[in-house]
Amino acid sequence: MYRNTGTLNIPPFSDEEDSALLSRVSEGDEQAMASLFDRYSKVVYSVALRVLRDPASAEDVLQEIFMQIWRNPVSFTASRGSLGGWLAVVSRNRSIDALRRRKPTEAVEDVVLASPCNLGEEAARNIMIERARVAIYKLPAEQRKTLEMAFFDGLTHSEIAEMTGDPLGTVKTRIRSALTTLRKVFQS
Amino acid sequence: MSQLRHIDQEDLALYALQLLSADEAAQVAEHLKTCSECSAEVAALQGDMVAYALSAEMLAPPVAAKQRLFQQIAREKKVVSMAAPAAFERGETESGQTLPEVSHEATQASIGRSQELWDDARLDDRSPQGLEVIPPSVLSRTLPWLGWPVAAGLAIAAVSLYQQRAQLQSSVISESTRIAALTEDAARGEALIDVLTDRGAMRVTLNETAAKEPVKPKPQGRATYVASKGTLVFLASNLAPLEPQKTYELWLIPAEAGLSPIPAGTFQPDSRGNASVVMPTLPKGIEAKAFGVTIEEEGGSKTPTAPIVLAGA
Repeated sequence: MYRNTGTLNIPPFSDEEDSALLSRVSEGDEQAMASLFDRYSKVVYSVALRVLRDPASAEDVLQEIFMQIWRNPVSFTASRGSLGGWLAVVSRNRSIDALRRRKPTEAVEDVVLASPCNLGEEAARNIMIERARVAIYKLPAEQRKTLEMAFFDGLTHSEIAEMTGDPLGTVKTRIRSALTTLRKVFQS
Repeated sequence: MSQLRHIDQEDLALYALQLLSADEAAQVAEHLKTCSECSAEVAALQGDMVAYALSAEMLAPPVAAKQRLFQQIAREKKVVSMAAPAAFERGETESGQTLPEVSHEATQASIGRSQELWDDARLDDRSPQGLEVIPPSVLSRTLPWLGWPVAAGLAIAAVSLYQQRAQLQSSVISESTRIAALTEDAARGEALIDVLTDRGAMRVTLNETAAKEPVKPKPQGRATYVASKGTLVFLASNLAPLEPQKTYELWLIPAEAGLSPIPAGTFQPDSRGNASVVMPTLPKGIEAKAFGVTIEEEGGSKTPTAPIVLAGA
């Protein structure tokens, strides 16, 4: 399922380190766990906070995800794409589950990324963040709004159509177009 | 969503975002098992989601979050090592995690030492000359029981050492967290000084758009902004108090045509009408045409609500 096609044009130079840390975590190395926490807690927490808008709930998601890493580091193997990117998506999905008060709808193993981006290093991450923000601000307003409602508010396309009064097909097209526009920005 | 045809690209995006119904998602998942093309597209879409996720304002979790996590980690290990000796022997916990090698080795070492002591005890069974020889029947009844208390004592000592190690590790992690927080604060302070002292910084004074009471001092705001760094410091004075559940919100109006106003932070004036917004999260490289302040509902808005109470370019 995994295709290393390189959606985000950033070299995956910390993958090996992530793998080594995960390996040490599987041996019960708490210092390795602390390193992973230092590296990725900000991304996981920030995404959860953006979705849930509640620091305590975001902290619960953070705790849940990192305890899952501690208990079963094998499921977070870096071969499924960038660990940081993977955690960002898992954090978003877990937060949406929490928002909808439902059980997790997927196993972490189901999330596979075609983006060997490096989010472990502050400098590389900041470059990506800036590129992402500029790209998002440049999206057409209706695409940006629709994607925000779908991604951060977890609203379904039907709910968005109902709220905005836009046709269902238009909402679906806007969501996909916004995502693929972002892809093009990072590929350029 | 037939098995024979590819899934519609738009539905794949909804699937990646987990916005399909359970039935629809199950159908897509079934298709993905056999379709590498659609699977690759889902993986690409999830990569796009990473880019979008990064638009969230990046905030470090509270320092206590790390402590809480490592307390939980230590607690799980303690529970496992005390309550599940059989699993501990195998190096596994109830949840299937592998226990630290050191614990397993400590147990093995403890057992080994117990065995050595037990062997020593057996060797000491040899009676020195001149001493009263204890009848073999007494020795055979007593010695087999001696090893168990010794082994138990050693096991307790091993667990105690392990707990001490866990506590030490927790305190090291706690200290490193504190240092990381201080480092981040220092970096933020340095950036603040940079923006205040940067000669190339854009400095804008914002004035009330329509003066109402000439007697009263006019509300005024001063924005200092460095576009290349995305850093902004805004100071306001003489602001009117707000109604409950309302807040002032600062806006950056981009110079580039077509870009919407960017929210640059909410603020409440103090009793003397003073307020500030220091270093809100803003994208770098956005040139500003102007700045404005509006009154919004508490929590802020994504788009400015008229009227603009302060504006400056």
